[in-house]
Amino acid sequence: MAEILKTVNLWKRFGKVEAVKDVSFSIASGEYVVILGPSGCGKTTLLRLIAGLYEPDRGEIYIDGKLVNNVPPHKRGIALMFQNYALFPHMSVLDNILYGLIVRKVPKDEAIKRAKEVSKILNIEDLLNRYPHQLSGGQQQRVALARALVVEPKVLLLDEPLSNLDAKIRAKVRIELRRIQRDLNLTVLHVTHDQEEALALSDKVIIMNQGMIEQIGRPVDIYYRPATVFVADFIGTTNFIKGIVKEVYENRVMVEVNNHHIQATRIHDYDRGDKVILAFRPEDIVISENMMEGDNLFQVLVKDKIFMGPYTRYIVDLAGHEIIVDVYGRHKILGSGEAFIKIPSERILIVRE
Amino acid sequence: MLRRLARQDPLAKDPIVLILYLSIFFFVILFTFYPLIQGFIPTVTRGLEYYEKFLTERLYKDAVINTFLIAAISTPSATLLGLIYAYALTRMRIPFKKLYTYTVIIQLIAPPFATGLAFIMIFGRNGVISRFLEFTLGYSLDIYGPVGLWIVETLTFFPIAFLVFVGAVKALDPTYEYAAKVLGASGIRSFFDVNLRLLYPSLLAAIILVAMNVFSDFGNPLLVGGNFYVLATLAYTHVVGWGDYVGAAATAYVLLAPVIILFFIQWKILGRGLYVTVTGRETTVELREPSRYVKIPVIALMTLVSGIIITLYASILLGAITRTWGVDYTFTLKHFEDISLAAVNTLRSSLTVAIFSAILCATIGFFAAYLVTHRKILLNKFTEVLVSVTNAIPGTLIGIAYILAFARYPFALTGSALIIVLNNVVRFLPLAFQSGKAVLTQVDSTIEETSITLGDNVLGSLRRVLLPLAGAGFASGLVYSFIKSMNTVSAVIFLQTPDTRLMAPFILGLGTHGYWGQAAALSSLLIGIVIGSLIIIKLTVGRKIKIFGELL
Ligand SMILES: Nc1ncnc2c1ncn2[C@@H]1O[C@H](COP(=O)(O)OP(=O)(O)OP(=O)(O)O)[C@@H](O)[C@H]1O
Ligand SMILES: [Mg+2]
Repeated sequence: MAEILKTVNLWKRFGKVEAVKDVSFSIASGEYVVILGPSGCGKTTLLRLIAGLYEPDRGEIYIDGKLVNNVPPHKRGIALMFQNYALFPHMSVLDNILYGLIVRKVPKDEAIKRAKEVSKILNIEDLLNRYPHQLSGGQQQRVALARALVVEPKVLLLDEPLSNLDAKIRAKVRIELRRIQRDLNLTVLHVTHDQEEALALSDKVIIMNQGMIEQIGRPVDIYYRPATVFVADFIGTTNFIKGIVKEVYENRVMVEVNNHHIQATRIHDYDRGDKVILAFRPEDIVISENMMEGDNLFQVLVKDKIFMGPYTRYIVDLAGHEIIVDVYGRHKILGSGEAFIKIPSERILIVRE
Repeated sequence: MLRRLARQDPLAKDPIVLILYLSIFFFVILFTFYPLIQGFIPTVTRGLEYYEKFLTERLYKDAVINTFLIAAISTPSATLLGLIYAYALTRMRIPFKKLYTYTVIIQLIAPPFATGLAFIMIFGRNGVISRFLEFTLGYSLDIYGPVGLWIVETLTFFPIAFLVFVGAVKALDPTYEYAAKVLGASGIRSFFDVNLRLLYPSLLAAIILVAMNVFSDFGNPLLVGGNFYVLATLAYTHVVGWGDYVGAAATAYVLLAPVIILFFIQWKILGRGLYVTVTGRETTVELREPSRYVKIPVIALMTLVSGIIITLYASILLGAITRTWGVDYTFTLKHFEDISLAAVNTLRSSLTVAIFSAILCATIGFFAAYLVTHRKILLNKFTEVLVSVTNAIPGTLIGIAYILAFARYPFALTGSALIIVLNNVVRFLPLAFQSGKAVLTQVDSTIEETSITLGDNVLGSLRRVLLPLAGAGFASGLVYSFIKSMNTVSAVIFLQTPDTRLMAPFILGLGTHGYWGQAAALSSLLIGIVIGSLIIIKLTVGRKIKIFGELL
């Protein structure tokens, strides 16, 4: 797959704030990539750098293999959709959609034909003569999307495109967005702080924190193999336990937590006495009233249980730490009191404190 | 360096942005600062003798004292009156609100000297009331001088304070006032305690704006001042009476000092230019009426003031169609016939000049407003000061400076209509800039950025998106500078020639020489044209355009 967009060691600072720090990633043609990160982590700044609305302090941006640092925004062949949609209030929906084609000097007939095609795909054919203030939030969003799509951008940049929609519509539009992207074979870079959105939509997720990339990967990798404590914490629910490295074996590490020993798969080098954090997902833990076979088996006290529908959440006490355990599917719900849990050692992320 | 400036805003690298900046800078420097310097140099080439007169010679000393005196007494009265009108018309339930409002508006759109003219038609030598007193009581009334001028300046400039306050009062949250009342403050106390403190910035703004206008006013002191010279009229006398342009320039520079100080105080304290556009959002909370003891005197005062204003304009209208004002009130169109030739000529040049001035002024003002609101580079504050500073330069000074600067190579413009247009553009640029800015700040930056990322360039997006969206601001800039250009006297009186005689200075001349019938006839025509053009703009551009805030 051809690389459409690439950034190399991008930096951007506003006064004392490092909004974007050493960001490098690439997007292949037809890929749907989501940048996910908490508010203020630099997502919008990154998009604006790519669009050419800010100039980077350092680093390079390539679009379609060409260095575009010195290419002005209107010649980069991208389209950017802002969170507020920024529809032109004095133009009808049709004129909004036509805008990018008119300025590109596409002949009027051809332009109208393309605008109509895009409107059909987005289901806004009936709205073409309306003005933006006569549209609902969802309709405005489609119009903004149509306006961006119709110019056939090399990369479509979306800044929190769904955040102005209410939860129900958001889930629906999400599916639609993905369908349109596949049908038209678009390359999309989508920014959000909603992890569900990121996991559901993307081929590839880029997790950002404080201007830096924490991890790049497929949604499953990000979810099941978070590279850092931040990612583990930010995505889904995660149990964290602090401990000290007791023994280091060839491919595993023994960590002591309040006189209990937990084994984790060794990825990096550790020394005895290192202070570490263990992170593991609630749904990876097996819980039972009965004794089980294998390593990392602990006796715990069930303190609380919450029925959540698809799963049941247990809060258990392990050596003074509260651990969350989620059990999916129908099963016999455990009573309060003693129980056993097993934490698969290959599912434990271990990082230095 | 430009690269660094542009880093936060790459759109600023578009050549058109640089061209706009440079054009505006050169325009302001060439047509404001260059003449001001050229006008200043001859006043100091032979030492400070021109300025020493202001410390030694009676006439000059008095003019300084008089100027400050008139500003010192007219500013508080005009500000207070403006505040009372603003509060009453936005916060009280009073009958005939519209009528009071219209009397304020007429004062804003009529030429400032109309008040002075009508005032002497009533109270001046041979004025209606003066003659009446003379006949019945044998008392001869003399209003020429500080008292008459004080009344006229107050009536002329209180609407400016009013506009500043209307915005502020509307934006005030009446709940503050409730809270104060609930806590036990009486109506008046709560007004002063709470509202005045919240109104403080606007109070300051109003005082400074009114003071700058009174300092610089020329027409009214000429008509009503008599032997009571202020600096503006003294400068005029230098030119007209003695042909001493350099002395006139020195006098005008002395006048500049207090006004420019006020201008920078205002920037320092308020951190922005002052402007008479109303932006406050109206509150919807139900208002509690102030007590009768407040309401009755307020209504009485407003009725008196508005009554006087109506009487003034009625006198102008009647004066235009009666044989000899003050003596013979038979209906006649003689005055219109007498001046028809001059009327046609001056009207033609005034309209031409005003139309060109308005278009140029609104365009430059709009581009400056665009740069300040949408291009984020460090020069913004500077640009804003640059295009606002002429607000603080007395018209008399600019007029005299223009003659001195543009009489010879390399810019021999004296005597042309162009010099008058340029002068108007420079003087009314702050108004056009502010009305553009008021609307453009409402347009989110993502609108322009979207059109750019869709493939448009800066100029295209300015033309296709920002201009249509902010058209109302452009249009009100046009209207303001058109009205001002039609009415202005202080600078153009020096710049016109027999070929380019303008209507407003012509009327002033008729008025000072006692041709009241003809002055009144021409004034009615001028006011009629201004009102007519307002109506036309309102009908064509429609509801979106805001002239004097929400008033019109
Ligand atoms: N033009 C600017 N001037 C100064 N600081 C800025 C500017 N734009 C962004 N910042 C700062 O840079 C950091 C990153 O901002 P950015 O808008 O990129 O975050 P974000 O991830 O998009 O956040 P959100 O989810 O809230 O939209 C923030 O600390 C912000 O205050
Ligand atoms: Mg953002």
